[in-house]
Amino acid sequence: MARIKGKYILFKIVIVIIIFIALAPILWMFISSFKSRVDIISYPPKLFFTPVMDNYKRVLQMPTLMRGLRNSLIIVPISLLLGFIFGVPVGYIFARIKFRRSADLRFFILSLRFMPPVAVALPFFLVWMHLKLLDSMPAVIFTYLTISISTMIWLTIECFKQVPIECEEAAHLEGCTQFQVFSRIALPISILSILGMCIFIFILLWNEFFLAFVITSQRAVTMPVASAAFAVVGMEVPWGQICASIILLSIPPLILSYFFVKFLPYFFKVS
Amino acid sequence: MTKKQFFLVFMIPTFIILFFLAFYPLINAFYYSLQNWDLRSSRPIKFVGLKNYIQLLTDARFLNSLRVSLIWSIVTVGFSVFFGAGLLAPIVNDYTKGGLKTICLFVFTIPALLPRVGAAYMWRLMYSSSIGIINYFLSFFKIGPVGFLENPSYALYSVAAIDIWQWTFLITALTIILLQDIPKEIIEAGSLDGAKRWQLYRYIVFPVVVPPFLSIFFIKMMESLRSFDFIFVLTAGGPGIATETLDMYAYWQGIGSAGRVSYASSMSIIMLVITIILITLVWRGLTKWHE
Repeated sequence: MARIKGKYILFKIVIVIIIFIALAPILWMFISSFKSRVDIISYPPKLFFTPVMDNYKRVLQMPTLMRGLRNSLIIVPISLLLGFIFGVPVGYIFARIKFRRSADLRFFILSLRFMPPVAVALPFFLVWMHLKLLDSMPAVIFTYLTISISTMIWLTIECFKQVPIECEEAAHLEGCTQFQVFSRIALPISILSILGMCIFIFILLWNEFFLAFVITSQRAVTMPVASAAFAVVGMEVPWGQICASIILLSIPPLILSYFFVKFLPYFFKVS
Repeated sequence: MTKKQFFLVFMIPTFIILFFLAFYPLINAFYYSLQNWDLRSSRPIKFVGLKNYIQLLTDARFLNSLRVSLIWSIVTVGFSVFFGAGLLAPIVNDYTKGGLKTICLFVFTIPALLPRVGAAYMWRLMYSSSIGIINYFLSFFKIGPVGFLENPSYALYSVAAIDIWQWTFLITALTIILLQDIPKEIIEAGSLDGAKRWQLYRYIVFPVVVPPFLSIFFIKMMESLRSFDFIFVLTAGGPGIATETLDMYAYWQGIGSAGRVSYASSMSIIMLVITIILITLVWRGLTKWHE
């Protein structure tokens, strides 16, 4: 018995270590974001130091980063909203209406996620350049529809499939039109799981880097692009400001991940 | 609104957008790949047939990027699936319950939901050979300082470790959720019959979780083709071309500094073909193996 108990405690310690490994990089960056210039480049690395807010103050005054933050807060919700408008009814149609080529069209939607990003980015880069829309927010939003609409359809199909079919049939018998069945019955019943999918897509778009990096340069940069710009600043890496800006960049996904986890068991059945 | 009207009103606009978003880039990329378009040159654009593709076959840097991408995919898929599903999920699932398990599930999804640019910087800070905490720990064992990102032989694996970190924990969380769907009675019946732990996993758990697990494996494979964010922030393809993946090389050629639109387009077409072949093969193989 003692041996089993010993083994149990041993594995508890292993689990704590696993959790630590999962979080260590984030914690270390969080701690470092409060270090002064001297503390951050001191070796050996300091665990105890006087925390300062200098990095955050400086980052909040950087025009590029603040523009990135503002742009992201505009681009991501609009792309999500458009994804919702164009995606959710189609998800419902795939879940409930039988039609020819339904399986083929679903595979097509899935395959939008498989396309190599470069194969998408390069032609769009040239199109936006032609239309003089390179480095503009409409260009980013439109390009992001590739991600938002396809993911929205793909994920909401399963949401709608879990709505009890009896409810919908009853509504049909009552004389509701197809649109009313969708908007008054199916959508309200599955709205929570659809909101979960919206959170997921929000995180996906918020984190997106490559497409935005290719089609923006100054005015329309998103937050990840603005943060990544530090990578090419030159030899002396401004670690303090990087840490602070990365923490700012990571806050929305971190907060939303709490809500996302609530929907994770659900999301799972989808794939 | 009849069923048919509803169908048409919502399907047509969405699919017009989607077809445009999918085929417009592809057709254009293919069209450009047959030309000699160069943003930095003023010579007239003309068709050159398959010249770009033939040139790619003899481009040592392209072949190198093909090799780097292949290593990247194998290493990241292999290790994250092995660690996540094979190692961590059974341990965490067996030795946690209730609140601790919920905390684990929450914590394990965090790395994957972080912006990849952010994760890349977090690791770059820890990898640093002058101020990095990993080298500090290694110095206790009289190792180092190791140039994780500066040494061409380690750089690719150092960057891959971040991807493995993100995905191992996500796969662990997903596998645990899968395991929870298995009725406890079956496992209890199995252990009453005297089955060992590995036998329980091999004969009871394994067959149940394989089908959904294959889709995780599949998704991870697709996502492993998106390595640009990490590599750009950590090494930008360097040192030299040690970590230059296909998308990195295509980026430099087409958009970054060289402006060779046609050449980069032919690369993206080749990437697309490889992706399609890979997906079809793996998907067929997996479903066949499962049956």
